[in-house]
Formats: sequence, C-alpha cells, structure tokens
Amino acid sequence: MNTATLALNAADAKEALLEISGLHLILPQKEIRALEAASDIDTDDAQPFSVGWIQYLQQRWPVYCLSSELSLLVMAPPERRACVLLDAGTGYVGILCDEVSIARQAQAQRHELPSVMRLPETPVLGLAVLDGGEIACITGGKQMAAHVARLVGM
Amino acid sequence: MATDQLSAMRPNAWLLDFGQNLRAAVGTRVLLQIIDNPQLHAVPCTPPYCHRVVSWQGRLLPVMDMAARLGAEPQAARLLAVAGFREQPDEPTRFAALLLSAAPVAIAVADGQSCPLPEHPLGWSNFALSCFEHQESAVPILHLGHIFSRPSAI
Repeated sequence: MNTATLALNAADAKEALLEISGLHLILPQKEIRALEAASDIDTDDAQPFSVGWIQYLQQRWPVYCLSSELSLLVMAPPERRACVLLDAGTGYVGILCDEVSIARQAQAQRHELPSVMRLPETPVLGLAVLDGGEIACITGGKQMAAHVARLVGM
Repeated sequence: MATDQLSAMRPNAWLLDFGQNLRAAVGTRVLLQIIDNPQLHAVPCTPPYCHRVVSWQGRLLPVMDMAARLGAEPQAARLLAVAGFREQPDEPTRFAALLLSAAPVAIAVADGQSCPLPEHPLGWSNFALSCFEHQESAVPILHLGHIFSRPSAI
C-alpha cells in the first residue's frame, strides 16, 4: 500500500482543496492524515454504505464515496481517483475525491454561509471564491466525519 | 381608490412573479438590480428552497426560490432580483436575491388597497408584512427579514 502522509509545517499553514464531481471543499491540510490512490482501497468486506477500507496506523478505517450534494454513493464513479483520510477526532474516515491539491491559506476570498442556508449540523462552515470564480465550501475533518456518520446512521 | 387616481400616483412598489400564480411585492427602493441568467453556485447541505448563491459586487448572496419556499414546485427561471433591506433603521443593509419567473412590474399602491393575505399557500403568513389588492388579486408584501432568516427561525 502506498500511503503518503502529508508533511505539515506548523509555521506554514496550508489548506487542502478537494474536488468531488465539481464540488470544491476546503479544509485544513493538517486534518488530512493520509492520501491514497483510490485503487489501493481494500474493497473486501466493506461496511454498509462504505466502499472499502484504508490502512493507517496498523488499523483499517472505512472509506466513503460522496456526491457533489454530499450524499452517500455506494458505487464509486471512475473519476474518484484519490482517497483522503480525515481526522475525525476519535478515529479516521476516508473520503473519495476526484482531485486533491494543497494551497497556501487565505488565497481565496472568504464569506459566511448566509444564515438562511445554514441548516443544523451542516458540515459547511463557510464559502470561498476561488481564483477562477468558482465557489468552494469551507469544512473540516470533524465536520465531514460527523456528516458521514449521520448519513450512515452511526 | 379609483383606477384613475392610482394611475396618477408614482410607482412605489415592484410586483414580483414567482410563477404558478404566486406574486408578491417589495418597495421600489428594495429592488437593486435585475440579473438575467446569472451564474449560480450550488451549495450542498442547504434547504431546497435556497441552495444556491450568486456572486454580486464582492458578496455571495443567497438565492431564494419563493415558490419552493411556499411549498410549490421549484422555479425553472433564470431571472434574479437583487434586494437590499434592513429590519431596523440602525442595522446594516442585508443583500439577497430572489428567483423570478418574469421581469418585475412597477406599480402604484395606496393604503386603501390593503386586504387579507391569500388563504393559499398557508406559508404567506410567515413571509409577508401585509397585503394589498391589485387587479382583483391579493398581493403580499414580502418580509425579507423573515424570508432570509435562519431556517429554524420560521
């Protein structure tokens, strides 16, 4: 298995930009514990609603595939080429992505999520406008892990 | 008030069409701009009636589908009205966008035209300041502060 643990320099805070079927997610790079190729995921004996397992720290952690609406997909589209392992606080959870890139913090213009759009328990903490005018949702590892846990009924 | 008296008045309201015979009004100073076919950005985990934002003058505005907010079918329209409003005179102006099914029409409204809210849909009582009669129809005046408040607040 080819696990790439992302280097973190505390003095050089960076953010990860995940792309999922056109949806852009921004979260702190330090909350990504590992980056894997989707082809390295062990699909044997997958948990309900998960697409397989990823190995990290001598344990295996479930991997989930999300749509651009952040709903669960039980079949991974072929464009999901990468898997990020997120720090969920009490463990880890894998999320499949199309692309993952790292950028310096504060490149994007940040905005609050309008109050009328703020549902309880949303994993979206805010919005950012990327260089090309596209919108990214600001989130975090714990928020994404909690969102997935709610979706699978954990 | 007689029709000839009304026609002599200056327009003081915009009549907004949300499709499906759903119409409402706002004051002329509330409506700031009409945008035809803007680029809208979907945000996941948001209410179905307000799940997109539009970039406007350095801000990201929530895009409200009033038809969906009132329980009707979502609008397929691509016309947006940008509104600026304040709940209290000493509060900062808030900005938001309303999806329209047709271009707004300037009308003159007088105090003598006040009438009860339409009985259907029921949701109007949450989103209207008052109501007036126009061309034999009851037209609610939008309470934008309530419409764009947090989902749990209504």
